[in-house]
Amino acid sequence: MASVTIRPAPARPLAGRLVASAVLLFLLVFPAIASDYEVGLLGKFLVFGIFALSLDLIWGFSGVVNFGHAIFFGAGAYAMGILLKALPFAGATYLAMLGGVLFPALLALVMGYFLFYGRVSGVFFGVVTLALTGAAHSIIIVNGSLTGGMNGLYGYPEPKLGIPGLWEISWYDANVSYYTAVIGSVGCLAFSRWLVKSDFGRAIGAIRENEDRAAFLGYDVPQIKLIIFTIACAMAGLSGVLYVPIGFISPDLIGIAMSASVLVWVAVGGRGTLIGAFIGALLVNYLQTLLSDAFVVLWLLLVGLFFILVVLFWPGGIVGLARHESLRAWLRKRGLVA
Amino acid sequence: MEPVLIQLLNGLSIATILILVSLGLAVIFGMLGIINLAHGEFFMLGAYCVATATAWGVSPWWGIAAAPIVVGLVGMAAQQTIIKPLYRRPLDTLLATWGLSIVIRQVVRLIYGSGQMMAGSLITGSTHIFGFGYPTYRLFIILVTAAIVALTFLLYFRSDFGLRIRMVIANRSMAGALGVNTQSTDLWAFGIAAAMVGFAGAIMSPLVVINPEMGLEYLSRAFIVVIIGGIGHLYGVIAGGVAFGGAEAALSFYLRPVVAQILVVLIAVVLIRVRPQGLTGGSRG
Repeated sequence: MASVTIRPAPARPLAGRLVASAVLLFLLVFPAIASDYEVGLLGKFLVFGIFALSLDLIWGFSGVVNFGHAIFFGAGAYAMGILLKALPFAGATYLAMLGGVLFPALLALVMGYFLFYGRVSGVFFGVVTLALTGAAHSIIIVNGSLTGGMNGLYGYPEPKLGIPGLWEISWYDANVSYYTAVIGSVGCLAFSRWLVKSDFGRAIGAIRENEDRAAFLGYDVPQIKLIIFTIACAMAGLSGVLYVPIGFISPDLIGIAMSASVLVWVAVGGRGTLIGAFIGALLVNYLQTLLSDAFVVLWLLLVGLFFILVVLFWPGGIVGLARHESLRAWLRKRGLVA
Repeated sequence: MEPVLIQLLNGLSIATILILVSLGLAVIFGMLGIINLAHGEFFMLGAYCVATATAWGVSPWWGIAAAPIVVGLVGMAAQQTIIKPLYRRPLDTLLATWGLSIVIRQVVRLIYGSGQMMAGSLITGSTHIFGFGYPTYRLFIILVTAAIVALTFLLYFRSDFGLRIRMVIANRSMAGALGVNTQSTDLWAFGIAAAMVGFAGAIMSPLVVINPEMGLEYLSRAFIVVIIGGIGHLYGVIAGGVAFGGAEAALSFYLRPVVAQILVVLIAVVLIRVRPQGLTGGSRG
């Protein structure tokens, strides 16, 4: 196992609470000070942050590396799009959203049943999920009449929020999609924090540290893994749902490249830290937007190199560095943290 | 009769290449306990060796000769720099080699561009077996694979080096205490495995689409072969390869190739649930 022990987040000190409030305030007023393009961009990055957070729940907290996490992101987006197309009446958006969360959850339940009860764990789980990503990508392309094949899914009615029939607002509106991303991010982060601190979260941690010992203590290891996997994949589906108003539904969402990207975001931000998922997703995507237009190939090369370096020398990622003992001691001396 | 025989040969042809690709993977996993996600890229590099030879206007056979050396050296460099420090962290090796695969793909893109490359044909024409023609080159691949598998088994079970490998697998620290240089054994085992898959890429190059992404497809299939065959057994690779290749060829007879490939992966997942120890394994772990 990794030589890094992931400590529970410290009980929120004053500095932490101040930073959190400042970030939230900034997110709320951002549309007032930025252009529509920038608002759309930040909204998209936040959605990717939720996606990364859902991976961190299983990778960082239960030690299961999912190389096929994009399957569930894509499944959420596709389920949403297909349902929007199939249900052309007011209020259908909510049903489509529900489908976009439940379908990936169901998929995860079936896939997880075979893998966890088949005792596929550790590196093998990564490998099998990688193969399944390839299969999922092919399934999307083969079922062209339902999914639009290579061209992606389009032509579905505009998703609308609000009160059906009375007061409806378009989800395509830059501010609406941005604020749904903000609400989703805060909600998912709060939910994840609650989950990992609950008794169930402790059981997950026990499995990550020593699977055999946890089983010996009477925990049903495959069942617990299946539950956390399903929750995480439902959250990935939700991020896919929130992505629909701001992006295109294309087979790329399910590709191996997308699964790799989300691993990189979590690793860079700091696995097992929850907030690191957002920091990683925001940072990597922001840099990518800055640089990629000019150097697509070189950018990916740098991402790969950086990923290797993070794994080799810096397993805690950015947040791990921020929580480093020497930095904490420095802050403590100045009375900034408890 | 004829379609059945052709399907049998097709199945054998898929199986041999899967075996060739998976063999190195199985050795590396069995020995170092790590999974090399850059394995597919080593395959791709092998194919690019032949494509480069073709582009330079020299005989593609030079490419085939160069592939094991070039890819073997790349593998040894990777072993020294990113795999050795991560011995005790198998999950992190998975990630680091994944990063390596991204780097290799992008370096190839920088040098050759994203487009497809061509490999010159090596052996053309067809040979008559039991009264019908089958491409000679595919028969050649089947024979070469059989030879390499035999060689690997000889190396593994009959040579001093194979003995050292098996000692390291059985008990790393004890092997070290008995005077086996485990580090150089690791290095050479990794190098040989990389050379093997590089060679596989090279001899497959005239039959496949050569582009920087090609390795990914073979990577996941090779892993499925190793897992359904039974991890930790060299002959499990052969069982897995034959089962996988046979299933794919049989299903391709009735269905579109893409659908057949999806089905095989799904069947494999169900198989893992039913027989977690693989086809050949008695018990795992």
